[in-house]
Amino acid sequence: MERAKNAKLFDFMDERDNLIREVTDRVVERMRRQANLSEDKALEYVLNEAAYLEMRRLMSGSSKMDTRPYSYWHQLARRVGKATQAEKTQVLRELVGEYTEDVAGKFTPQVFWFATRVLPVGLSALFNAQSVDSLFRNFRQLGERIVIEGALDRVRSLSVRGTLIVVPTHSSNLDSILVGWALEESRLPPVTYGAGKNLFTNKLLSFFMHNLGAYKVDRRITHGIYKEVLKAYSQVLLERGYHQLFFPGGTRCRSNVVEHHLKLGLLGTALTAYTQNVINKRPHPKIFIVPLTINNQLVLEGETLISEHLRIDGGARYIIEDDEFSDLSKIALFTMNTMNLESTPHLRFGDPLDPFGNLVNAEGESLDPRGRVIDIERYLWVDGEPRPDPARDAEYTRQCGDAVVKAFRQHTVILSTAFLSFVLFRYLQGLYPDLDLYRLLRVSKGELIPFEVLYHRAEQLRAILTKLVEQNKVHLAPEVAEAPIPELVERGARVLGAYHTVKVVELRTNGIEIGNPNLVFFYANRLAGYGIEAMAEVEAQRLDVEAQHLEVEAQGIDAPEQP
Amino acid sequence: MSESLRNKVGVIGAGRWGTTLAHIIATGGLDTLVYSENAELVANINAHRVNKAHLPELDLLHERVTATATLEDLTANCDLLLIAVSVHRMRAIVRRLGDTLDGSHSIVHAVRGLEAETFATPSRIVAEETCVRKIGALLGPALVDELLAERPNAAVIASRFPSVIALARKALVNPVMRVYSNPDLVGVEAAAAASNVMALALGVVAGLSLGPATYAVLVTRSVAEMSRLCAALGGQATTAFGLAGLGDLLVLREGGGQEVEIGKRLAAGETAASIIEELGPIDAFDAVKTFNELSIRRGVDAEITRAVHDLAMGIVQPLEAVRRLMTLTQMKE
Repeated sequence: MERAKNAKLFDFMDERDNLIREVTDRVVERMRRQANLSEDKALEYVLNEAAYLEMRRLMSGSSKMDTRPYSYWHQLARRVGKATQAEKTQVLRELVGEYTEDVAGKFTPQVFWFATRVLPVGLSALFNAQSVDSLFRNFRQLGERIVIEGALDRVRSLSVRGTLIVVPTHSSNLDSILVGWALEESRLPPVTYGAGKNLFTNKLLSFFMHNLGAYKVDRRITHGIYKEVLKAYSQVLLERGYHQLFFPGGTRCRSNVVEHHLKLGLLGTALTAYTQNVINKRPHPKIFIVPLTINNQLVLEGETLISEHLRIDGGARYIIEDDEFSDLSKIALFTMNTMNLESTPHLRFGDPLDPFGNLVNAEGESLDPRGRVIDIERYLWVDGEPRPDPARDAEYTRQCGDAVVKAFRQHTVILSTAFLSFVLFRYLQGLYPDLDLYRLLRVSKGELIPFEVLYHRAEQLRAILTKLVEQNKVHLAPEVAEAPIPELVERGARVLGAYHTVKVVELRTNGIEIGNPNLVFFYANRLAGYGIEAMAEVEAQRLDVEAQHLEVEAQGIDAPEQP
Repeated sequence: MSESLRNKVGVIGAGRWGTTLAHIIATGGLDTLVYSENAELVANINAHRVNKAHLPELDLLHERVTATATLEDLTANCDLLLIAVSVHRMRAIVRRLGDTLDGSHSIVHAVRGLEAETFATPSRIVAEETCVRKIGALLGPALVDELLAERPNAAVIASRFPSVIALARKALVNPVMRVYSNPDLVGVEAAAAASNVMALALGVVAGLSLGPATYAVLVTRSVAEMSRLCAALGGQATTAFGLAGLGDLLVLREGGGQEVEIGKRLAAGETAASIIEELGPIDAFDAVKTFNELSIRRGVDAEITRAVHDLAMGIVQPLEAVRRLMTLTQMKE
């Protein structure tokens, strides 16, 4: 199959300076316009806010990633009140230019081809494996084991008809590298994406990140100017036809549930960019959103993520810099263990959507829910012509977010670890019905669940999941759909028993012992939100109603209508 | 951003409520096009400005009201469409309508109820059958008789799109009609639909000749239950305390709605099956079945709904249903 050589990203370095200029001009112009409209957005306020937030952040420690020192912001705060409008605009322009320069990636095609070829070897070198031969063999096998499935042909077709935004689920820092590699394996064009600036501090990782299309996002910077830069950068890239990758959940999912709360700000740039493309009559105005689920048997940072989720002493951290991803030996252990265990990750592409959340066919035409081709420009019409409308567009974006969430659920692939964990966790809940979650997790360690109970419950769960599959609400990995239940349980237990510091579960002769209840909860959460408990409850209620009807019939009264 | 009403306002359904809406909108100075599948009715409206079948008390429809029997005619000439048909008929009509709509249209329905089996609100039916996104609902206690008599009325227009609210207000506001707004579309639809169930319960209480204390308790607890059902469908619980919800419940009770009369027949020992056999399909019974199933599936505490359901299905007798409610576990208000 042909490589995707015509992707816009290969032109990046030619247009980089021009792109930075456009982003800078756009942000400065927008902020000046807002400053004239609203007192709250006056330039003095905007600069003061930036200075205040940066001083507060830098007081708790600076790093070599910082572009300006504390003293700069201190001085700015002192002089901004007396500065003229021209001086304030000049400061704003300098800051915006500097931030944009810092954010912009450094993609070069030659290095990209090199990086995609040496990525497996490069990562292997990190992992101290024994021989180059075995490295290649292992990684070839790893590549063969990663399942890439779903609407691949349609996505390929759309990649030449408009701009793609790939929106994956997110639970590990390995995800962006995995997706970059999977796109290349599938002969899909490379994408550009925002990655935490902290990930660029490791030179080797930074090399791969940059040349697989990453741009830097410093999530420690929280002021409005920086946010505007990020938004404008992403939007200009989209308008110019650069395929992108966003993690719409905003950060790695702490609980491992299939994400259902999305950050709509970034998703909204799709609609803004599309609107601008239509108004400016660009040749390929369309933007396609491609949901992608990343389904891992084990999650590298699982222990840290679930402990963050369960923190009740002051809330979870949004940015975590000291997790398993920062420890290369952990990455090595994780990769080697997962390679040895046939613990196949599944990357599943969902049906592509337009920025309004409608499905799109291979020709790039949007379809209504009945499959009729529709003209989406009409959504932008105000009094007969396309116009932006912030309130309307916010609602369109919310609806698009709902469609992405639905796609995430629908295209999630249930693997044996999630399946077994769900069975185990439901059993523990039944065992201690009066305990809240925290107490339940504390007392469950060491609990032994006999095989006969497990097998019975696993059968019940598979029956419910099979119904959900028939309704096109979820996907099952082949082993979950087809393997004999004892084999499925054993397989799940074997994988869960690998890698994590404390084994999640251990296989005993007569059952499965809970080793790390927090992680059982974590992996079980993948099946939350599908209404599985409610389906079981309805089934029970239905049986109850049937019993009532039989009783009425036995008493010789006319049988009531079945509810 | 404010959109203007450049074209006619379309009304789908030339029944009692649809014709009244068209007349009210036209009275406010806007050209109104009514759609009906009934060619004879369309001809009568266009030739004689009357709708004797559904609105005999109105001698003459406003001159700005015209009618059509083709959906293409409607969608080509109207940006804002109001739907006033029963929830049973809605999906079929909207599906056909979907052939001729585009994303620039706004649709506001005035349909109280949920679709049986699917639990779909009317707005969801529109979303599932058409490409239209700008959807709203016009619900609440406005009554045809009161509007025609030019007595003060109010309704709520619910939509997540401010432009839909603005358009509907431009079309509907006049000296006898106040239109409140609410962004909680699902909540307004759920509250209005649940009020059908609660109105049956009020009818039962009236039929059993229970006193004002029972009535007050039932109204209060009905609103609490409606708020839980609203939340279960994805709306805001507090929406049930508004015009669609409490407002609808009171107007059904005070206005002698069909639901209250049917509740009285349930109190006399009849069942849903026997009443339907006589009167044909009844929205309120569908609502009862739907909300009962919904409450089970979503784990919602809905004992009044459950009691009305079991009574309508003949599973319990009227006094037993009341006793069951009175012997529930004691709880906080």
